[in-house]
Amino acid sequence: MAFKKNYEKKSLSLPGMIDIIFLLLIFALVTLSTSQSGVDTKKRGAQHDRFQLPNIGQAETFESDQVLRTLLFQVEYVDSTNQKRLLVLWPDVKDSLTLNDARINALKDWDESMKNKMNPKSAALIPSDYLSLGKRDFEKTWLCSLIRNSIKKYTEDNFFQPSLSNRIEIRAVKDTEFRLVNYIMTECGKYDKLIPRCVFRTVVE
Amino acid sequence: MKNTIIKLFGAIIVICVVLVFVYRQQQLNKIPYEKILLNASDEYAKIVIPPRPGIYGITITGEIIKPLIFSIIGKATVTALDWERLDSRAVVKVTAKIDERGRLTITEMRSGGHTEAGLLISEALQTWIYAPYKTGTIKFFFNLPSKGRKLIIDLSGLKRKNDIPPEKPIYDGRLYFINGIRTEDVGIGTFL
Amino acid sequence: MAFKSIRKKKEKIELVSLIDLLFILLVFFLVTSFVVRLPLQERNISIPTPENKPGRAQIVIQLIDNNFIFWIDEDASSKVKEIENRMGYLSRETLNREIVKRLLKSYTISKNLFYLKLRNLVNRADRNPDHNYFVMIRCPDNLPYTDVIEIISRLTKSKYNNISYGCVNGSINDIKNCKSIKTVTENDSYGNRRNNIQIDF
Repeated sequence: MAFKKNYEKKSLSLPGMIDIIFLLLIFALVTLSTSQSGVDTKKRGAQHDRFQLPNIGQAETFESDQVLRTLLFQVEYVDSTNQKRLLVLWPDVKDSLTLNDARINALKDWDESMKNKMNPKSAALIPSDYLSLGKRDFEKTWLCSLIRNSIKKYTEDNFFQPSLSNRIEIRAVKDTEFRLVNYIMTECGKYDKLIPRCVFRTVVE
Repeated sequence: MKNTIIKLFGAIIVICVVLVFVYRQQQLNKIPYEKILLNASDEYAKIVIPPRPGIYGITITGEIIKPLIFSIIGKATVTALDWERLDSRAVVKVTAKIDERGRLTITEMRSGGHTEAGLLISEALQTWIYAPYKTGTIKFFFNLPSKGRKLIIDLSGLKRKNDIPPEKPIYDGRLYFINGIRTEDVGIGTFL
Repeated sequence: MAFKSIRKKKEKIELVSLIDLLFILLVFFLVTSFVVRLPLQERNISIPTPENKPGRAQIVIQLIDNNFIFWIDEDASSKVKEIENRMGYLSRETLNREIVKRLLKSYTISKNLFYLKLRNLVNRADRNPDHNYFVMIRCPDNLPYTDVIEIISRLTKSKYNNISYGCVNGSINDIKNCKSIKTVTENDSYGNRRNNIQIDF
């Protein structure tokens, strides 16, 4: 007796495969969109990779929105060097200026001033030896006069606008020395109850 | 049998997926959604401005200076004087000394014929021990027939001990251990 | 008559697809839950600006360097009082130096111990919600400001937010060379008499 061997032809389970492919597609789309929400595009105003804010644990802090509603002092690295600069970011009463836009404005002023070899009105280089300067010499630097004048101007011009707040914000890279931050706080303190506190931007773990 | 195992395996996988879903929901719930929605300026309006630090000097809050209470201590060894047992006509004057350790030693007693009352009083008083904050002479005037104060305690002869820092206040606490006496019958003051 | 036996096709679960599907769902949910949590949010933390007058605090934290911190709180007042009582015969300047030297010896702590003390302070504040604590942080010029932010971050972990803080510039040399350091007896707001430590720079 001859028996035929029955070979079962194995075929692709098409519905199953379609399901898997659709799921993979949805998965990829979702993760791609959520991961892109925190990424700044590589424009001139975008934050440098080395811009690291201090981390804090769970603490009573307040959400900061990207729209600039207050005078902000930003301490960052100058491009890929180790030198730091202070940018003064001014809010706009009429338009909702974002932090990045304000930074672009400050950097434009910086570029122009560098070309014309003048002191920029919205930025100052932080001298690398500023820690060794005495109190008077430090206060005479362009950096300190920019800070003083900016705070004064802000309290005089923009302070009591309803859309703006009476706080000064500081956004500085992690290794910024306390001397600079203290100078800003002390200048603010001279306005007594007008600027009772400074606000620091941090990142929450 | 094989089918049952497969079905069981499938069920376990489904349960795992459900658990993961629950865990995910829990993690999402932890995000403070209300704070994200709140307008930043509204949040600041609620904040009380904290105290601002000074520059020219600091005063660091120190520990509380606890007052010392000069009173009878060591209740286990102290004998209470039974007021009811004293003769209602007894007039007894007791002068005693309190030493460095707070122990009371009777130096003079005038019982004016009421010997029994005097004995009861001296037996009780000699067991009284005070907190070691003051030393000197203490006087007791037991005047039972009086319509006013029946017992007067004179503390004018007591002085604070030298080793107690001067800034520590010493207040008088329980100065007598007598059962059956009313508070209004006792007075603190001097007597001849 | 020949009957064709109709055999019911045995239905079986396509296990391979099921497992694949379930694993995909598993991975999907795990990843999305992590992704939602991860992006670093910028938050604001506020620090009061200093006033041009002497300040009051329950605790003073003086950062010395990266490894050591000088911590003075109410426990130090009894020590200062004791030194004043024992060495009152010394001149004011010598007594100042002696007090500072002994305080530095007793109250300079390592960073690990410092973080432990911070945690204990937060726990104490949580146990006493009616008490308000004010911590003054003094930081020298050359240390990064994140050291201060780190301390504040830990202080703000209290449940009832009854720890407030302030920050000024100052180095340990200011304390070493202070004009005077002594105890003063004052009444607090509750009427309790206290031996406070007064340091004038």
